[in-house]
Amino acid sequence: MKFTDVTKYISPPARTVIIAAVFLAALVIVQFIIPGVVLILSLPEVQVPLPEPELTEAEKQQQRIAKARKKFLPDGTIHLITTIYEEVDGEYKTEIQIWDVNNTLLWSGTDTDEHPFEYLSWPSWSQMYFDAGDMKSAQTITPMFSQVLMVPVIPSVGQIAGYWRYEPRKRYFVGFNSRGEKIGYAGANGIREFKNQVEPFGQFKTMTAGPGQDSPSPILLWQTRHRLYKIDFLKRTVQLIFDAKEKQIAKVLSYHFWVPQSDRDQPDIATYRPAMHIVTKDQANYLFVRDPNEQLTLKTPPNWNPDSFSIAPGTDRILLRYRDKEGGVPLSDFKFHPEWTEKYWYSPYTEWVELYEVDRTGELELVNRFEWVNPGRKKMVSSWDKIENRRKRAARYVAALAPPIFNLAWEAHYRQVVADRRRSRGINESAIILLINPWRDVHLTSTPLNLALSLLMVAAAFAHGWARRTSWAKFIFWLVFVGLFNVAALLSYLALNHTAVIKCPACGKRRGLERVDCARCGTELPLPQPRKVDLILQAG
Amino acid sequence: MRFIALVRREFQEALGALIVVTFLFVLISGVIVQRQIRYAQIHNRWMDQEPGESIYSRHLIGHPKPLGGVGPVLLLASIILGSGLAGQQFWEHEKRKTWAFMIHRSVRRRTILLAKFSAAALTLIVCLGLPWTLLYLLVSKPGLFLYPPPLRTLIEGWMLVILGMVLYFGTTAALVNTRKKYTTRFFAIAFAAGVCILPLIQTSLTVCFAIIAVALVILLSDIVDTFLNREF
Repeated sequence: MKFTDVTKYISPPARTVIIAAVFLAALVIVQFIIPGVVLILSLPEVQVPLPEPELTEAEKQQQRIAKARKKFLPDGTIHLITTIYEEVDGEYKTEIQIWDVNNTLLWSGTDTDEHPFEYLSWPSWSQMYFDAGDMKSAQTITPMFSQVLMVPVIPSVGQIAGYWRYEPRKRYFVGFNSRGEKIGYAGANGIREFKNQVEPFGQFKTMTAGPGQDSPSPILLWQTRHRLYKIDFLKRTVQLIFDAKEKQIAKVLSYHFWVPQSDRDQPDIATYRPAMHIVTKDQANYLFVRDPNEQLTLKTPPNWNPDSFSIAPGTDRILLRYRDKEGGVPLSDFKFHPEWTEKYWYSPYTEWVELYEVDRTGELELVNRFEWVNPGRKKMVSSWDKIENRRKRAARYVAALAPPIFNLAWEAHYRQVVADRRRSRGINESAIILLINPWRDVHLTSTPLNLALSLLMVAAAFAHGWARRTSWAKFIFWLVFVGLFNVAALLSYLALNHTAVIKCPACGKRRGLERVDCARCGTELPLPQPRKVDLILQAG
Repeated sequence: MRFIALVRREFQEALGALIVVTFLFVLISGVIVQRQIRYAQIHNRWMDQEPGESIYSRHLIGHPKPLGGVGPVLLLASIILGSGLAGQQFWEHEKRKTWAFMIHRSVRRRTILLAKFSAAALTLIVCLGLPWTLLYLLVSKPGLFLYPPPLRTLIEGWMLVILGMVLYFGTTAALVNTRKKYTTRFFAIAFAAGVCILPLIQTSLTVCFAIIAVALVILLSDIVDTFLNREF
């Protein structure tokens, strides 16, 4: 088969792809612009604030308790601390009130007064925040080129002896000296001289870098799917800190700075010990404490949310504070979960805080617990909500012009979001979602309207193409294509197939000129009548 | 023989643009790299790192890239050269109405088309590809930068040069077809422009080149079929 024969078959679909792609892109832009225009035109000149709803005494007390900070004394007693901001004669004053759980006011003063109580303090913790999404973003091929993770080796101040570069696809580091020569490979089995000796790290999850105490060279805490490593390129060591084996590590929290990350983060050794809290996907919790070294498996209940507890690894005892609420942690996309929002956001729900002491076997002993009812939030429709509703309505109507398969894809994506809202999405997936639904906070619910419009487009394509059809396969392909891609497909069809029609001299019906015979009666087009000057045309 | 003669002729016609673009690209890139060298020597954050001093994890990623500033210049030059070459090779014939003269010679249409494509590819390689490669080799010299650019940067730069070829084909597809200007004639340029954006949000070079390859096949098949069957 010659090349020109091949292009004869590829070029019609190629043209269809080019034109349909441009029309689809134009439709996405229209889907983005029109609701935006509606939003801008709807902005009122003056935003009138709505009055605060009236509360009963019981509701006021409930709100006070819900908003108060809950603090523990060393013996486990719980106090509720309320902060009241008020304006007096143009000056802002802050009043602090300390209540007990029986609603008795224990102390009242300003924020500069010293209260007589000494509460337990909870050391700040940092999560390893450089994650796989950041690593993926760094690899994005922009016009300024992708980035690479590079770790310098700094034996002393001002002296850089080389660097180690991470290869994401191969999952190991390659070392270079200051002359650019390779000096080794760092992987799960340590640092090796040759590439074939190194064992790659597992799938990268998170990383944090911290300074060494006796040198400026960075030290890495490197978390993969199942393991946690400490990598020191200056000392050329790769130390396995934790191996979850078949389990997957969900989260690593560094308490009181296992690896210090800023000048302020110097651990108070007198009060707290450096610790690391590792959570696996099956909700198991492991605690690693230093000075002296201890490893504990916390015997936490299986339904505990790992985001809801804090640990204070003190020098004499280890305390754990757990806070939770009915319905669990608020969903970040709760607008797509109306039932949950109605039950656990706008209606009263129970919250509680507990203090436990952790013994050397990881067992938790309850010290104290406090429970209260949060009155929930009041549903208020502000003028901004009205504008937003107008924008969302406009977005839904415009979405009716979108391809029906986009609606189906959006439904599938939305179900995935509900099932696993924490799953990180790649850039291609995010771009596709943006193309399908530019206003992602609007749940596309115009499926019946969308399908009705789609059928209308198919009817239009049918009416246009019936007289002009050249083959059944092509005709049916276009009808299906228009049905799947709606307006953009109809415009593409018209761009590529709008040809002239004439009245058939035999049957009198409309027929196209792309085929010799009439599609209705089969009569061929008549030959042109010969004229005197047609020397080359043979008559009849 | 005719093919080589045609390629040489097309290359000669593009020589002016080639010299100007190469000169401008080398000049601008040179200035950018020179500034990067000076900046890297003065502002190396690791030179002042003290034991126990804070380190932010993102510092390990956000280091200055020696050729980072050259990328946008390369892309712009590639796009301008690609669309300019297509205009010069195809639109000039439309404007001067010399297609009939060009086509009705003892050379097949596909030879003419292939010669134009080859000349365009050669121009892009000589004008942008080679200077880019030489710049990369210069910047990779040990001791010049703390972090020399990896090999991937060289490949990414070549990808930017190939994007110029995509736009060349898009412009050519728009210029050879006979549809009216107010209809879908220039859709091919819009398609090529959209395709140029897609690889720039990818993380995998394989996916980038796959996107470019598919786009080139689509545009090439449209151009070949139109050009070979069109009446001039």
